[in-house]
Amino acid sequence: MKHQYDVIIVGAGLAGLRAAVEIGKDARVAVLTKVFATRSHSGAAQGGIGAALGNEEEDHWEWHMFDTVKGSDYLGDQDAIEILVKDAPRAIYELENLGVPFNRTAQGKIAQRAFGGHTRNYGEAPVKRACYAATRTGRVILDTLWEQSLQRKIEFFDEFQMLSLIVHKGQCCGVVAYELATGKLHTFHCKAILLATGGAGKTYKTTSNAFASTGDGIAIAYRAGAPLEDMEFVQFHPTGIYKLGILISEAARGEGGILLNNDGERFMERYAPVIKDLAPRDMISRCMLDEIRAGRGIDGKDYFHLDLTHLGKDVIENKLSEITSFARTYAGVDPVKEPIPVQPTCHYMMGGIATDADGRVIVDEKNTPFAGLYAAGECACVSVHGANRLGCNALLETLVFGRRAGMQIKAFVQSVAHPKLPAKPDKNDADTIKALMKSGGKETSGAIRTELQENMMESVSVFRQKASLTAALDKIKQLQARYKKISIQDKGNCFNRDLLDAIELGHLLDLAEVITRGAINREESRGAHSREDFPERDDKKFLAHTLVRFDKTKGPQIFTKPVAITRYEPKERKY
Amino acid sequence: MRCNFSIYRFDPNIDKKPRYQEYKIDAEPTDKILDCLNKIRWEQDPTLAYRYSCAHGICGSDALMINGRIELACQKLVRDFKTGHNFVIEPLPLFDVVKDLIVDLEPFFEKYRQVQPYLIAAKRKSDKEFIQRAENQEFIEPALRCILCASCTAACPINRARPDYLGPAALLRAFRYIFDSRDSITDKRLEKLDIEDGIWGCKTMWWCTEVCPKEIPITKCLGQIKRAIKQKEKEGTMPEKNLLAGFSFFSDVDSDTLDAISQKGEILEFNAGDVIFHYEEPSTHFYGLLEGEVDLVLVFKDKVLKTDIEYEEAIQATMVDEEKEIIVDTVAPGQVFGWSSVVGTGKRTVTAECAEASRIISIPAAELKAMFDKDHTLGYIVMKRLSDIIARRLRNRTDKLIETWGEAFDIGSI
Repeated sequence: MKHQYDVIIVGAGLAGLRAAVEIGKDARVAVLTKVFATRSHSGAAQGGIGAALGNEEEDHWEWHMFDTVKGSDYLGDQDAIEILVKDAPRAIYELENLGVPFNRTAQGKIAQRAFGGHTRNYGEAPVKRACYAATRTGRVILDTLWEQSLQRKIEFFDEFQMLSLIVHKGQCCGVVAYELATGKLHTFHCKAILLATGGAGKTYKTTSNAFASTGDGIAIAYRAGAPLEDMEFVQFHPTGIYKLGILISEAARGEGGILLNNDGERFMERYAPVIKDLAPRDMISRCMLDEIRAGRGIDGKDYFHLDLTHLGKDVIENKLSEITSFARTYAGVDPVKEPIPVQPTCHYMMGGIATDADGRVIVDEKNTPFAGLYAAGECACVSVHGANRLGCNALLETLVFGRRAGMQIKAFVQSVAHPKLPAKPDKNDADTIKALMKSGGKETSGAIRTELQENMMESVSVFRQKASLTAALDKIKQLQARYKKISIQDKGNCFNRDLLDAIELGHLLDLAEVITRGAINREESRGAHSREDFPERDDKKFLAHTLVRFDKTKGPQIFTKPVAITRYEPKERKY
Repeated sequence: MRCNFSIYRFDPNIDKKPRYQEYKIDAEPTDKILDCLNKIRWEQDPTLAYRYSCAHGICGSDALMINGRIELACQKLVRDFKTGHNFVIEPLPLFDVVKDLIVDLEPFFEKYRQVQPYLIAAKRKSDKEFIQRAENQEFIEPALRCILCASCTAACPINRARPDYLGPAALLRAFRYIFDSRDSITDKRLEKLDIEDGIWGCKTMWWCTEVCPKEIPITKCLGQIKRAIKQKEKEGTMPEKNLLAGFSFFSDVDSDTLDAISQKGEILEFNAGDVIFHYEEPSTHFYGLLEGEVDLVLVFKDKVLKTDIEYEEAIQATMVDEEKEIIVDTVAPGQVFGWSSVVGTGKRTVTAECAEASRIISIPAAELKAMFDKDHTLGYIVMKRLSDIIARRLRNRTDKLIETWGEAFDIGSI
């Protein structure tokens, strides 16, 4: 089936919906999403969204900028970060005016609370910068933007899986998608495509991410020739529920929660004397693994206690209500009375499809745009998070850069005609699916996925070193070979999850390879990338973005791009 | 431990009717039911279809019937059930099954869209936030927990009896905006819900609250809407409403036209047992039921049908021309009847009899038809709705016919 629009947005999380709301009725726009819009993973964001409103205490965008730059271990592009933090207050007021029900101060203003790595006066002490709605901040923003899209009568294609981008003579001119309910292929012909498909946490065994977070957009853009940037930087959030990975928001520590080791010691005091349990995520995750190696995990195992008991029932049940219910349901502990068992969980991809600050996908280190292709949100790398993202900057990024991409696309589609579609644009995908469905191979996606996730968790997570990274890459190559022998046992056309699992696994395998190659290449330790064989940051050699481009004949090609440094020269990162 | 799962399977493209398939798996007491379904799909049967995504009760994808109760599959663990190791998994009730445990939620979202689920704020000069009291935000907070999983609406018996009723999820969303101090159309929102298919459809049965996986006190929130409407009526600040405003039949008609229609109407009152019109009488008026209940009765003269019912053993010998009544439809408040006044032969096709004391708005059909002649859009809207009613009547009648035949013959041998 063929469709024609001016703009196709793939993904209905915050970045995609914010762009859709921006474009609104000014162009013909449709949103494709593989899960129903309100099921998008943005809804799982808990703690808050950062902006120097100064509603609770003095704050300035310059402080927010410094914290973000320092948090990124100086790998974030400072021009982009300046755009992000300066635009933050406007973005928050806009959300509030659209209806987002933020918690309030006694004066009726938007309430704010402390969060990891947010400080006053360039690192002096924690500052209250995170705007929030209990621990459901992402969910209420997602609902609000979805409802705004309904009001604007935006068209949705719910439960459509993107299969490929249609690129003709260097111009992106459409999308091929698979309709889950019928198994039909749809061709969407358009002038501009925005990828807003989110992260890829499912590359790892323990993750806070949804099943849907399989990096489809990142992998498909990579296959279409768009370079991926800084993929080796994968954030492990220190407080996932033990064994399950379900997130316990940093807001728990923002409200005063503390981490304890087996000796009952508040061990973060030793590592970050100034901001302690509110140190950035990469640092706390590393400290936890160091504590485990020193035998100070709880009962000698690989987890710690997150203690909230001293906060009182009122704070725990109201300001932290969602995570309280998670702890009760999944860990079987009541945070009012006992500590929550936690361990690091794969949470966020700092890297992604390389873009400029207006959402344009770029093809080289000179920022040459990929005509017709845009990306925003977690699937993109602007880069504002560099080597480690600060809490509350992810939601902010989706809104600021989702809007900017929307504005850029609106102007672009009004100035051009529809590009020509190549003949039979869906033939490749139709052939691939046919081959998958007919394959008599012995492999199943379940088995390969499990091995991949375990391999990545074991060798490409918080601590890394050359030997194990190289072994991990070999394993990924083997898994990619086995993937070719996969067979689909469900032969039906209606909600064929077996087929979708296989498609998603193909994406995960590609991304695992890029992450691992980037990690091998970067012989230093910076932010979330911690090489035991190169424990220091090496600004001389590696103060640069890693870009990996897929070449159809030569395979993955690594090159670099300089970091934009405008205000803050790299310094040692201490908290 | 070994667990037995009996799972509802139905692929409308292949299966004639649903079946239950048995699976045995090893599960930990701390496994989620969703983990068990995944295990079955990954290790035994990749064709099993169900929705899921976040796997921790936030995205709202996986509301199912688990052992007869509506639950989120990702929020219930094996150890939470006291049913030994046996589980019966079925799709949400109320909705059509697309495949296995996946249902079509479009009707659910359609109702959600009807309540204008977005803030409509007055224009103001400030470019900063609205000042809102913390207590106000806390008041609407329970409704913000909603994840649109559709559990409440699926559980509500009123929704099954009354397909046009907005249902708890949509009304909860309305609550969220009605009581948000930033919204500027509170009165309009209340007025729109002040109908039988709106807030008064809620008969305080508590099922929504009982099943809500986010523990939202839905019934209480809906009670706040009722209280606000009653308060406004008491104060006399509730605008006088159009008598036909709550009729889903007229829901696509704009409010000016609807005023014009209801002004032509006359209010009639009847007692239980009164006949409003008889079968085969000339049709002159179109009716809307405001209060009470009206049965539409079909008068059979058909000999075969007659004998089927009364003389089971001597079918051929006892054909007589006696009349027999069968109720083909029951009209509830907010519904219309008497369509033969607008289309068809101009004679009543049924007898309308009050099952209880009823209040009715009676509209002269000739004047209505004159309006359609002038305003073709209105005519089209009404005819479209009428065709739905006629189709439903036909379906009811066919069902009754088959039921009656079934009593008389071995229907399989016909």
